[in-house]
Amino acid sequence: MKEAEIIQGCQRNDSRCQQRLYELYYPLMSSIALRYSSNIDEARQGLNFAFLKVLQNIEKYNPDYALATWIRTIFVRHFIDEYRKQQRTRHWMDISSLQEYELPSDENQAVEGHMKEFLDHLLALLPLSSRTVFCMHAVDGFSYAEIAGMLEITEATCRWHVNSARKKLQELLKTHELKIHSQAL
Amino acid sequence: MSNPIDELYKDHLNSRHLEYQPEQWQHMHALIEAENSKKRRKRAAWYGTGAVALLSLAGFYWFTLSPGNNGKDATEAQLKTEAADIHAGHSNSGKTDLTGSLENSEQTTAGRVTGISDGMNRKNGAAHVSGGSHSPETRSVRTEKMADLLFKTEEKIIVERGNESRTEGIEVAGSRMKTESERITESENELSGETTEKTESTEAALLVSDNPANPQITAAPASTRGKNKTDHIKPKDSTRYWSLGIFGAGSNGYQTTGSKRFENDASSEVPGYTAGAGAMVYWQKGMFKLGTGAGFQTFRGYTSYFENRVKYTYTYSLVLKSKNVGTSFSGNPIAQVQKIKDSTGSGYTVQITNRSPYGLHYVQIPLQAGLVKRMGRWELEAWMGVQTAILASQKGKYATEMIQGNFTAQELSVSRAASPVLFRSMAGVGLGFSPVKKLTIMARAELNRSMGSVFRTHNERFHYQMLGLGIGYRL
Repeated sequence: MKEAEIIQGCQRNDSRCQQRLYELYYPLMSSIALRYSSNIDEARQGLNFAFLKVLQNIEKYNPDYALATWIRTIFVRHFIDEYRKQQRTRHWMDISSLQEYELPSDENQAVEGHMKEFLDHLLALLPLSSRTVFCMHAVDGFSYAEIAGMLEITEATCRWHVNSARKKLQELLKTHELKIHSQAL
Repeated sequence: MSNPIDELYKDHLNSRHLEYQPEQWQHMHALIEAENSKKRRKRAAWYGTGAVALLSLAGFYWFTLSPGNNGKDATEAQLKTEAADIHAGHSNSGKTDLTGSLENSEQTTAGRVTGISDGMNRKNGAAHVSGGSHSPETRSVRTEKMADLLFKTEEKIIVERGNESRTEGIEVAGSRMKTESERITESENELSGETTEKTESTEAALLVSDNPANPQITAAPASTRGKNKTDHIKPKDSTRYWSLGIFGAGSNGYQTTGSKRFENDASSEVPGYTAGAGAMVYWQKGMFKLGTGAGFQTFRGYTSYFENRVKYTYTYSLVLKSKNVGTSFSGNPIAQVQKIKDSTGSGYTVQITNRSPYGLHYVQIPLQAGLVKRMGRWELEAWMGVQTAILASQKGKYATEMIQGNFTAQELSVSRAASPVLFRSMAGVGLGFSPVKKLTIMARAELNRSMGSVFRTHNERFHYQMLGLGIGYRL
């Protein structure tokens, strides 16, 4: 089934096409969901709600642009909206709680087998604001001005969050002597 | 040059994704279905609201503007006055003095006789007469209504006052003359099969019905020309009135809740708001009062659904309901007392909450008393009722799961879209005391329906749609 047919099917509220679209873009959508969520359950939940928005707005989709870009935009904006909603109520663990994370005894094993998990964990330990701004800037490529507009904060605050996140991540990586990556940095 | 940390995480996060599982689509599908269902219900709710609005308008018209209705209830004094108005309109001089002076009497009578005799003398076979700038149809309807009123009035006056008293005034004389003239006209028509024609355009705007079999000579009263046709017969009956009011608007300000619902959810202070607005229209006719209204309410903040999950809960909120604006304090989630202050006074509501496998139920016993200003008089009113509420979602188990807190993120996501629906009904009786109107027994019934969502226990939004119906019997 071609992408255009899938889109037309979704516009007709065809369940089969909706499922096909969901399956097709699941990796991309889950990637975005994971980076803006604190755990997998939350990511799956957010993914579904964001995809619901995609379906609700599918009639507005302009075929001149890539569908993946359009979906990505909706997803990022959805998670930013969620972030704004949660901002006042979420409380995060102090960075010092990193000590509770037990690294495998074998350093090499940690680097190879648990590197991804460890990076996720480090990211999750960042304050929500810093993590969100960092992901928006470093991964999704938003400029400071764009982030400031979307999160309703100043550009200077954006810069501070990004620098703070970088600094903390670097410190944490060094602290645990992940030599390979430290040298690469 | 980009930062190495940025590069590291960009590569890492872009390459990371979840494994697709078929169950994930099942949840997504349920979400889509729930959303579609929500849309349908929302549309139906709007239709319902529209229907209520239309009914309200119809009721308003029926109770207040309907001319037939007003005519029936008009007092005899009003009828007499109107009859005098109408007769005054017949006068060529257009005088409306109703003192019954001989001058006016003679002038009016003369005018009538002249008009009638002219009409009789000049009947020339014309089938229809139209006067002024109005179309024949419009004038015809108006003529019939006015004639009906006029003749009823005259008959009453004649029966009451008799035929012998000349000093009764111009109404009697005019009425007799008109009745006689009508008979003459009818006889003439029966004989000739022709209709009369208007012969002169006078201030009194003499009209002739377009029914050739029964032409009725009448006149548009001078006092009503250029006004709404019902203005001149609007009743002054004090037992009938309508009013319009707002029964809900505002904010609940700030809620303080200590919660350990989630591991990383420390005690927090949650700013919440409740905003709603609506309108209620009610009428009182005779001894019965009928009211109806519609509105909506939006709520954000912690709700009481999770109160029993929290050991120490302190809630302070301004609660808005259909008509109530007040404060509530909840020390015990099982029972809650709300202090109510609204447009009809102040009082207390006791709320008893019960949870069952089918959802959340609670019962409220509103006790309320206050002073009400009604029609310029202060009245004392006491109210007691029973109110029940049921929380149910499209899929009942999700509502229960939410209440018990045993839900997973997936279930909650479905529950959110399933839009837990709160049906609330209320019925009760009340007593009102008025220094003038003695005692009023009231009965009130309400059906409130809310659509909302519960999201991670933090963000909750409810949209209330309220339909209320109240009826009162005034002794």
